[in-house]
Amino acid sequence: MDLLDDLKKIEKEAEAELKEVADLDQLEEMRIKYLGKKGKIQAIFSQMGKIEADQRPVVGKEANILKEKIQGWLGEHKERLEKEAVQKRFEAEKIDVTLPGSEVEAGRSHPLSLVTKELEDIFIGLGFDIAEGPEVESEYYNFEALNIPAHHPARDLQDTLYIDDHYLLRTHTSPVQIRTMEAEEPPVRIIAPGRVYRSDELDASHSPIFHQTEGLVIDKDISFSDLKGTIELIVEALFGKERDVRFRPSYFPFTEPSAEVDVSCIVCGGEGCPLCSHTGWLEIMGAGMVHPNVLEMSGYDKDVYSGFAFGVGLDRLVLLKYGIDDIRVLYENDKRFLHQF
Amino acid sequence: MINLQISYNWLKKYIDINYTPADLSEKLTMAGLEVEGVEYLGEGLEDIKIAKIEEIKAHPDADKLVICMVKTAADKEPIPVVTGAPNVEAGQMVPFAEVGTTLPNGMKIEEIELRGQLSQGMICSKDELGLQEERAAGIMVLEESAPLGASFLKYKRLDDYVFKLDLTPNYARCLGMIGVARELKSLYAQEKTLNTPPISFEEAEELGTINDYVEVEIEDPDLCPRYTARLVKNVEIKESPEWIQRRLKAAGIRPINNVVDISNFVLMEYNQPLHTFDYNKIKDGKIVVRRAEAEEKIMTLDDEERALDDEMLVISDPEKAVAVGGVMGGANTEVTEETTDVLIESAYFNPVSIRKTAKKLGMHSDSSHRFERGVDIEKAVEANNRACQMLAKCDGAKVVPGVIDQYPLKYEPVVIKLETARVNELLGIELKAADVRKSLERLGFEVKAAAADKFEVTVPSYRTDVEQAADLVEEIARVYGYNKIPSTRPISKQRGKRTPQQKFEKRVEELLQAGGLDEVITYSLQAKKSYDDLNLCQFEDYAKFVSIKNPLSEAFAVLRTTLVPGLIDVLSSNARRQGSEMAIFETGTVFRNKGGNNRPEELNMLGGGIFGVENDIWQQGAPNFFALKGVLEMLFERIQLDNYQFIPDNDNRDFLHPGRRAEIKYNQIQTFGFIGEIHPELADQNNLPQGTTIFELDLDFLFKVTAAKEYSYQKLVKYPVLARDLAVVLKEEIAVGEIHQAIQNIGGAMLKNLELFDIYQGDQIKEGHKSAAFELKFQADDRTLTDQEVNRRFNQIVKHLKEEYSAEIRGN
Ligand SMILES: [Zn+2]
Repeated sequence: MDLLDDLKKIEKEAEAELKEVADLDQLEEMRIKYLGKKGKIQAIFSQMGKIEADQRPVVGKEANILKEKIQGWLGEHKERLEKEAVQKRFEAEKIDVTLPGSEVEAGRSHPLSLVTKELEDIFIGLGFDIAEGPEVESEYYNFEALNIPAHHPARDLQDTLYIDDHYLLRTHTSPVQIRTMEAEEPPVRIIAPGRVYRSDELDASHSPIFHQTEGLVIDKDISFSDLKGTIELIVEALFGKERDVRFRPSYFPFTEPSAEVDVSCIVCGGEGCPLCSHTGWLEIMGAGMVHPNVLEMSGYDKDVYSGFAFGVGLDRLVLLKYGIDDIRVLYENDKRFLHQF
Repeated sequence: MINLQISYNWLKKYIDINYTPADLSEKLTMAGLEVEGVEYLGEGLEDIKIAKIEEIKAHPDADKLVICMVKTAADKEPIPVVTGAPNVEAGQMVPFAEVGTTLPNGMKIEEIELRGQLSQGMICSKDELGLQEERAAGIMVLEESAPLGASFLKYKRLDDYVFKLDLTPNYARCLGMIGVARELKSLYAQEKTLNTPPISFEEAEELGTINDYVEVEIEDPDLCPRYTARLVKNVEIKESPEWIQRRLKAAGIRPINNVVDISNFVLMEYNQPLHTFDYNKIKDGKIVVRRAEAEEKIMTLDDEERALDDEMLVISDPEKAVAVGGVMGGANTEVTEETTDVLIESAYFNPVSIRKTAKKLGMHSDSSHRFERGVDIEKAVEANNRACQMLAKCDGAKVVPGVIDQYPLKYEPVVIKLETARVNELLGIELKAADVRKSLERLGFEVKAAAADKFEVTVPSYRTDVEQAADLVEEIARVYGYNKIPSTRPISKQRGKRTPQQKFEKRVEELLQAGGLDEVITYSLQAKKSYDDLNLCQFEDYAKFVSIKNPLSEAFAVLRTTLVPGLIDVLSSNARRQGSEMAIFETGTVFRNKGGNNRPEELNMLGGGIFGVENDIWQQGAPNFFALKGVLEMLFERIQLDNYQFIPDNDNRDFLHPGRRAEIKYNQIQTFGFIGEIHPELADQNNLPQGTTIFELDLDFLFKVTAAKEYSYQKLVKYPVLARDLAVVLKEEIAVGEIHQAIQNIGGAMLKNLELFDIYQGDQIKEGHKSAAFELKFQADDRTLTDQEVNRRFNQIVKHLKEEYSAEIRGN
């Protein structure tokens, strides 16, 4: 018997067989077949006793060389197969990344809330507190304390819904000015967003229920120029830098001087269009210096303190900001509408 | 609200201005006289020409039509126009629309054939030209002197703009043409003169004096501080001259007859309401200005009988009331076609009294509007004279010499102290004393220096709106220009913030949105009927309505006592629009009547609703209920509300499904809300999908019980968790919540987490029973639990369930 020949045969055999190995299981089978305890290389070693003593080292050496060789082949092949396996797995697990993601329904904020919160945050940044007051008010807070005595023509400016002889639905958020002044010592710096009510028939631009925010600043040395600067800042925050702001004389019983604030039209920018009735301007709020009578009635010294106040219609602001042409849409709560914000 | 219409051409009579209409509109607006609109009176009449009917020919094939041969210019041949107008005559000058012209009503004139005859244009009637509303009987005929071929609108002086003003109450002085002109002069054209009408007329000396005819007695000077009267005799009542009619029409006042028109003309000019009486119907020529007697009645000019009371002022003769002072005249002394002698009243009435009277009687007139706002008491005689001057121009009219001027409460001018420094402080500008003085003087104020930088300012009588220094500050700002005042910002000494409750509400809203609920905002005024329809009034709190005394309509008649109707309305209207799913919430105030004269209670509530959920996690056929409950549980967890329970609601809230409604309680006792499916019948009636579920919570209460909670760090436990599953078979009627509670009680602190993960009825479970499977997670904060410890506790739980609930343990 020529063990060296056998080794050569085994080598050829293994080389050929390796080519047929397609996966790790077959590879393991092959390892056992050649390198296992009962494998072909081991079989050579077991036959060593049967050959000449001087041949033994030669055969032993060759057998070890072949063993290492096959081990090397198996190792290389294993690496290759593993790579292929990973590759195959990736291919098998491939997904269509263009399919849509799972639906996550986060609830929306009503646009009125969005604009109110936005305003609140701007004012908080300017050092204002957020104040509140009741929606059912007394004549005193809604009118008298705001320098609107009974039988004054200014009462015609607001059609009032009454509960009884004592109470009414507040026609503006201005009563919160009075309540704040009564409760606090100056300096005062508040805004007071909330619901207000008027006896106005419901149509595209009127609603018996709508929202306003009042603003009030009282301190020593507060001037009309402070009012202007504050309002210009708000307009910029809400409508952007490119808007012009104009103040024109107006009348509110609780402010003197009083002003109406216009911004350059958001649609035409001042050229004139149907939205701004071809004036180029949109009226957005009323403002003025707190009337001395109001300060006095609320117990503030009109010669020491001064202040400004303003009132903004929030619904109108929402309509302008989002280009909505009918106030009723805000209260219909159509899901298709709500989901645009 | 438009309360004054002024014609540009008329205005120019008082001040010689030459602004473009757009410019004037801007100037008025920036002066505080807000222009709501500008109308061009000649709108659509630009192409109408004056033409002459040369000849009229019969139409060969139509009896009712004629062919007018119309000459449109001296050098043009007449053209044929077929018309059916009954009043055409040869030689008439007429307004004519040539082929190609569009009339104000949109009608386009084309060449046509009428019954075979060519017609090349149209002779217009007044209504076709938009000059009157009602249909005219025939064509409009112009004066013979009308120039052939000229522009009709120029000839008729319709080349004018009308400014529609919305004047605020402090602009009472501008409710007349002179007032507006004065305002323009003061602010924009100081160099121009204010052209008030020169008043001169002849008095008929032969008639004696007014005192021979009229006596005036003011019984109540508080209500009537001044009353002037003049008498014009021999007045022929007829149409006013065309120019007066034109002016009034431009001002939006309908011409009536010369006397009424003149009094309206002076009203518009001087802002002084006049009243004219038929002198011969006033008994003994005696006027008594007095309060009405209780239950006194008068028939006013609008033919309504008015019941008066003793707070109202009447103008009366010795026998009867002849006018409601300053508000409306009486029918008994009205100027009619038979009238010859006219008594003119020009007075000043107390604004508050006028307002009260007008309001009580529901009569708001041009007069009452002005008296309410305060007229210039010092101009009463001048206005009266102006009317006399105009009446004197009527043929044969004779003005009785003299004027009666009862003026018991003489006008005392208001004098105001003003400091330059305060003006500058309030406006944020740096005017010099001289600037302040000049600003006020140009507005007609009389300014006297009292000390350095201190003034005494006398208010002119027409400035009924100026009472104190702040009013002067506004005037100075107007003159200075609001837009020239610099912009500054007040320095804040405080940090702005929301109150804890405002922060809480904001957080609740954000959490509900995270739970998939959209925010809605609904009307807080509602129809009581919707409460009845929804069966809400059975629930006591919901029936505590606060009603509106003067509601706009039934739909807005009561304040909401709950958010439920608003939510249901939103859900059902969306369902009707084929919305397949919806989840909403609202935070808002509800109002509850507290009885008597008490202020209604205002509560902040949180409500919501859902439909369209499909994943029926517990196989109870109520996916919406459990979806919404899940959102609430998430909310409660996040606001750290412990110790709340959902307890079946057996008796209340008939608007919900009796087997699918729960009260939400705090500490087992205090109900602070509910959740439940809308009653199936109500769901059908309101187009709501079956299973629609709603909830409402008392937000104030939630804030109160969670406000004290501090959000603090809880140490993370590092010891292992031992989990056990427990499946129990129970009698159907035992609430799983009860079992849950029992397991938790026995499990104690080491039972860190207990979750129901399955509930099952059917195969393998005996009739009338159900299986509930829980996962129990045990963990100790301070050590590793042993299996023995956990098993011991688990067995105690099992034993308890067997004993107390006859539960069988599955797979055990
Ligand atoms: Zn525009």
